[in-house]
Amino acid sequence: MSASTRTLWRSVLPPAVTVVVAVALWQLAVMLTGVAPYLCPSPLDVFQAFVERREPLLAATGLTAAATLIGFGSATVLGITIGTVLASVGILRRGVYPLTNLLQMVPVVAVAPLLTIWFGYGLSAVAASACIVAIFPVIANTVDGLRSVDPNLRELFALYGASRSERWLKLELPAATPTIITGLRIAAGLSVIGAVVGEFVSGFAGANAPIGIVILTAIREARTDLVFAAILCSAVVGFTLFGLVSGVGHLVLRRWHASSRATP
Amino acid sequence: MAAPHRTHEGTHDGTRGGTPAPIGLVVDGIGRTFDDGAGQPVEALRDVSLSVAPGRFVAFIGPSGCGKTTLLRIIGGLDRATAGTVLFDGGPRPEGALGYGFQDARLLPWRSVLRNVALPFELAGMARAEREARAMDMLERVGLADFASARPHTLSGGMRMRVALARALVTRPRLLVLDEPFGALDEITRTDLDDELRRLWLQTPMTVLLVTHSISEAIYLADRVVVLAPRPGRIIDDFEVEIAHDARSPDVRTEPRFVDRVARAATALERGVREAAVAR
Repeated sequence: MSASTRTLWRSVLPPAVTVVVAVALWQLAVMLTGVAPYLCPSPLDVFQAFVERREPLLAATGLTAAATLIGFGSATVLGITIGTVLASVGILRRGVYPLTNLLQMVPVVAVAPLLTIWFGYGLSAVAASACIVAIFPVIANTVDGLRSVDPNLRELFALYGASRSERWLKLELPAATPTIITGLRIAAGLSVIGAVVGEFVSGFAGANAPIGIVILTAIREARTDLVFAAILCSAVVGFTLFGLVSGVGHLVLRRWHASSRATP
Repeated sequence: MAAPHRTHEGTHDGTRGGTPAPIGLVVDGIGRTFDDGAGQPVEALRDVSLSVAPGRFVAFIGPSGCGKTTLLRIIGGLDRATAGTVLFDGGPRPEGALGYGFQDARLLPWRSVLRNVALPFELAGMARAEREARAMDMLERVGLADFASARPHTLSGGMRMRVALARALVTRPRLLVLDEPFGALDEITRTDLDDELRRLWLQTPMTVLLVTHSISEAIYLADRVVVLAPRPGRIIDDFEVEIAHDARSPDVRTEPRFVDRVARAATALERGVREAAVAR
């Protein structure tokens, strides 16, 4: 077994074992206590619910994934743009940046109904909800990353007569990339939360129901097993996006940044 | 003695236009006062004057806080004097004619060695093929051609400084300004890089100003040594080394004439520190 395979096993195996043990304990606990399935279904119940309703669940997952992706994508573009403007314009940074931090404290659940007024029901409102939660870490990390560029390197660029745009493109942006990627990873996880919350309020019911609506409907029908299955589906969306962002981040940084170098 | 101790003239290659001539400079009455942050003025430099003939290698030594780095930064255009002037060949600082080396290598970690060395050209708008060819030439001259595609973090500290030196020299500067460039390196690597620097200087028509806190390094490398005293920073001694460059191998440091120069610099340094202590 090569060293890298061994490292992989070492990092994958322990959490995998934990999951298997936890699921087994859960199954055992439900069987031994005989708790009612609508209070707490067993893992097997959840699996059966998934198999039974797999088509609407997969469709719902697709819808939620689409809204998450659109929300995350727009949070990335808007967040990096806003962050760059805030980092480079002192007066805006002093005037606006503290407020963006405050704005972040406003709960999305409270804002989500408002989005329905502005965007109507459906994908746009849900994506907007995802974007609103995801954008703040992107803005904050972009500003931090751009502003903590080594002053010695700035001096070097000044010495060689770099223009402002060259300095941004060839110094500040690359130097801030690790910090921005960290922000994007946080945003990836948050955007699913924003999407599902958005769906609770403005998702379409019926044949084209996203995960949030599937959960609400299943709750009303006391189908707790289906609720769990839907939660798992939304979690998979989050894991996948997080994994993608981390993977791309690793590819971008692996040649130079400490966070991506092989650790023994 | 006015003439530099060059043993041979540089191997001027005239393939890319005319050979640039080294810059001579005149520093006249430079003073620099800082605000210490509590509203108190701190005089870092007072009335510093000297002139450097084109093509010479001048070392500045002094205890920390004597303003030697500030003086170099003023000459290099990185800081502004509060009094006095610096003239380059009788005029203002010529654009793009200076090369810089710092205490740290200041490499961009995300760029390969080659692209780090090509950076000054890139920022000057030179086409990719040409700037990378020239950077490659320069890497060959400092013995790093094999590491062109390596990232800086994979190199040793000495190699990183070599890359920084290559970047400073790639534009064929007419004046090279070095601020304790090898100060963080171990003794052996440092001597190695000192020899390299001397070799490059002898091959290239340029004036070199080197700030160092090592007396031995100053005398090993320079034609002329300027000793600064602290509080306020001022010139307390200024002498010619008068040892031919081809006679300077690591062994020269045990010879009486070298030891004699070291003693002279050390005496001046001690005198400067003593005077500063008395003045306080």
